[in-house]
Amino acid sequence: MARILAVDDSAAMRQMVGVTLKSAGYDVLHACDGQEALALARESAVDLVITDVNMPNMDGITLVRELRQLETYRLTPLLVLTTESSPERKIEGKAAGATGWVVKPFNPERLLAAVAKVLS
Amino acid sequence: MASPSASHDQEMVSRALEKCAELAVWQLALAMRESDSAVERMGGAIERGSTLLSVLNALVAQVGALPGGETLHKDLLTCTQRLTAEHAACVENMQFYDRMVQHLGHLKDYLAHVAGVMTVPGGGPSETATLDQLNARFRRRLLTDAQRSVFDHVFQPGNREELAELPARAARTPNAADGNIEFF
Repeated sequence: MARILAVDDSAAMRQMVGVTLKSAGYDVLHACDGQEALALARESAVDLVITDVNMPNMDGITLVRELRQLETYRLTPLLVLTTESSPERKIEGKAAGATGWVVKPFNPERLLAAVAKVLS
Repeated sequence: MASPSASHDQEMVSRALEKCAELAVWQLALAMRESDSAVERMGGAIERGSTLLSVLNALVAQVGALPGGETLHKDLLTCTQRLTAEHAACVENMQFYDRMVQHLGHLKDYLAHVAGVMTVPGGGPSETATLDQLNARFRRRLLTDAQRSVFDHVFQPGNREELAELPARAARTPNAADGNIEFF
């Protein structure tokens, strides 16, 4: 089963994303900001990254940009999961190299469908 | 030119307002922290519920394989499907806590900056411009249409009744963007 890296500074959000992905059998790694996620992604290969935007140390948009610089993550799906729904932020995310934009609160079934779609 | 006594009064008012804003900042910080561990425990319960649901689903599948177990299997399957739906509702609704914390965090930062502006004695065009910038930044950081609508109504004169109704209306109407998924 695919390995997914879930990045969020909120413990409650990490739990909810983890619960949803694990219920579908995915192997889930967690990071609480972009910096930690980047380090984790460098040391162990992941098939998908789901990241929040507003986080301390390194935000989600910067994380996406940094991951796209790495050869290993050039084609890896990177989903942004955020409370931000403004078109400006979405454009920023797209320009950074994100695969998709999911607005919180997510519906578990729909998130799993999106995950399956980007992993297929 | 203001008399020394008027200027002193104005400074007293500024200090009192600064204290009010500071009080609000720390009360918000406390409220946000106090709920953290309770919500984390609730998240743990949802996580354990998810594990139990997986075990239950496996057991239900075994019941279906037993001779004569078809009816029981059907009933159990209905129950687990309902439980799965309830569990999904818990996962979805728990996320409103995250949104609330972000909203309060933005408000806390805003008030802290406003308190900083109030410490400047006398006030004047530059302070008004700073407050305008803080207001604009606060609005940009708001997350939902309802939050932005409340902000706009505060700055529109003569809309107090509608403003008073907005929070209740927002609670009844989901935010249009919630749960949206867009692929690039």
